[in-house]
Amino acid sequence: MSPEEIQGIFFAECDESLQAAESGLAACQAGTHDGETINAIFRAVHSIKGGAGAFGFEALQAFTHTFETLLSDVRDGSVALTAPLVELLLRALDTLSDHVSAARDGGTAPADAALLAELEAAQARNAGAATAAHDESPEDPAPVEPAGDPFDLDSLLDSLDAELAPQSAPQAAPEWHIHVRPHAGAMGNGSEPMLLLRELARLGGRCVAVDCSRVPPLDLIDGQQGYLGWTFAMPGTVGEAEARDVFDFIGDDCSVSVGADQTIPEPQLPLAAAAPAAPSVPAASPAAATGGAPADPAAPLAPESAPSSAMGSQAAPPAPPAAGQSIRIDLAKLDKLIDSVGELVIAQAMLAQRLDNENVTGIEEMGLLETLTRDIQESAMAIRAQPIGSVFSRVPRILRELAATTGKHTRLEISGESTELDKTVIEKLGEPLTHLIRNAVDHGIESAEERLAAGKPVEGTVSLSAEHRSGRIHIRIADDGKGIDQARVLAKAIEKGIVPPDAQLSREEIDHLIFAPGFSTAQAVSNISGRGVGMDVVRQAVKDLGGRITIESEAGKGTAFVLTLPLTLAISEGMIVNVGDQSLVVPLASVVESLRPRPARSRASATARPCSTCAGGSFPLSRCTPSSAPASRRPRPKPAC
Amino acid sequence: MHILSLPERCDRAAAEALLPEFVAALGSGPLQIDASATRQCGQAMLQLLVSARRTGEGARITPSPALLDVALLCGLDGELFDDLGAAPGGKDPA
Repeated sequence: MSPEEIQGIFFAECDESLQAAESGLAACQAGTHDGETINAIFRAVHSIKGGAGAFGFEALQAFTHTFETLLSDVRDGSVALTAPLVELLLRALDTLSDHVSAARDGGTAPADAALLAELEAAQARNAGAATAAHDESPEDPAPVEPAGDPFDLDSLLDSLDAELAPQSAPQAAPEWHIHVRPHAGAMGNGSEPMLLLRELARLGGRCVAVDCSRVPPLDLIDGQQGYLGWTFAMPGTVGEAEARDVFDFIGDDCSVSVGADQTIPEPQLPLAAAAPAAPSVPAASPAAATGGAPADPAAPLAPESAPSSAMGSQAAPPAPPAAGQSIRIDLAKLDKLIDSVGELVIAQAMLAQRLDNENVTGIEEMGLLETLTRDIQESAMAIRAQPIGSVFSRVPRILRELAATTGKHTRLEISGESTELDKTVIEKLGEPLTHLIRNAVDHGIESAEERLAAGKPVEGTVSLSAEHRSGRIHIRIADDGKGIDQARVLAKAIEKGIVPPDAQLSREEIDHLIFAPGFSTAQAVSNISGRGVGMDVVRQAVKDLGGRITIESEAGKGTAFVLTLPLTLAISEGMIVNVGDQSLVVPLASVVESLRPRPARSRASATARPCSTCAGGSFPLSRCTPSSAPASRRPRPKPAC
Repeated sequence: MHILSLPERCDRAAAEALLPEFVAALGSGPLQIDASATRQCGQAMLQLLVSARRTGEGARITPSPALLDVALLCGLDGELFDDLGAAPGGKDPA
């Protein structure tokens, strides 16, 4: 795997971490959080920091460092989680998201100096409370850091800069040792052990021993293997968990042990690299394992399978995968599978059609083949399916930004976020959803004064819901605002020449005028709306996805947009229509109803165009055969089976 | 004396690319390694340098500030450079 691919995984994990933190902070805002919620937010930010360090994204790492320091204090209970603090943490999360984007796209890191100062100030304000909390409750009820680590390292480092440390650190805790041995994977997966050692040094660690004894001579060295190991002395103010966290990102690719009674873990080298066999170095001999004294290069380590390996944990084979474990798959491989499944579905349909043409029917195996093909298709689609929550999770930030711009504060209600649909649909759903949310707040939700006057709560509500219905997904974006002002919409449409002045339109048709290109009732053009492009773009995007959008609006009560989308774009089902010797396929998503128009139900309209009445409506008929063809040559439709 | 120049970015790919040159230089006297242009150095190159120092007639390395910095960070300064401080073995045992 190339470094770029590994970095891609890191950024994918960043997105997951940002979503997790967003969900956690939303719970904090709603007051439904608990200790694990805070832990989850901390872990999410910490995970990003770890990867940022490994890949050398310094600005991202520096920001996450300050962010997680404050979160650490919140987690420890030394900083109270007040509403203003949650608001600050949400803003920090937004900036963190911008940092991740900048690192991913190679853009400029966001200006974060003011926010960093706020985060540090929030922590500093609670420094006294922290001390008091520790005094009152020396035994933290839910410690994450190991016992004996009552001080936050990062705070201490900050304090050291101002030479305040002697006041806040009454007694220096004793140093302790951490031993690390990066293996081949730590160097080969795009990560670099030196960056991890630098992170240890940043935590205050210093190298006290290096094991070069495993480095073979030039003619035997393998550039992909890890031969070096280190012991770092860490200050007592740093917890073991904090130091181990540095190596979280590379997992089993780096063996780590802690304690003065431990030694640098054994390397994991292939047998070829470890030959010739020799007695292994006793693990209990620090001098042999860690002394830089040049060991005899001709006496390399025993192979990892040797029974004398005291560091068995490093040599042990990987544990079997735990239940529920997930794997990451390259999307290109998945798309290839989906393509193949699509071809299989087509081949099966062609075979069935051919047999049908040959009047070969009633073959039991064909039914079985069709069932199996359907199962495979559904299973393949399920692999690509993702919960729609990944799109919904970006909405809180949009609402925060809108609140800052418009002054309209809105509460978000989400349901059905675990509803799954195809990844491609999810990716293309973001833009129309963003437009609709912005539209709901800008046009739908009234100002605080207007809401009060209308007897509504000052805070508006935007609700998002998703559900599966008849093989499609229904997404509803609703607000409790003023609803669509139909008189104004119609007047604006007439003014812009979208409809003639004497047009007789139903309420539904008037509502749908807002989707007309260039339509906008906004009094002023802002960066949110008013250019008349948003709703047009929304409808086009939904159409491009093979979906439909409908409006439900009630004056004074609010507006809801309902998006009906296919679950996937990878495979579309169609209805075959034979016209003469031509076979046409109409996408099933576009078929509302199929029926055979009977002469009795057909009539000529006022414009002499034939119409058919069905389902309570009158629909124009279009003839597929040339109208010049004599009626006798027009084929009679074959009765449906 | 065989002289090898290290690139600015001494990551694993660079170490693997240079390994044949290191091996080819074996037996032709002490190796002179010019690392004065090196701005980044990873573990793969560090252990290659250690190996070069320990193989045959050894090697003499001219470090850049960046290489010196990373060697000091990971306790390899004494192992890699002739004119600097004590060998890592002189450090506190773990």
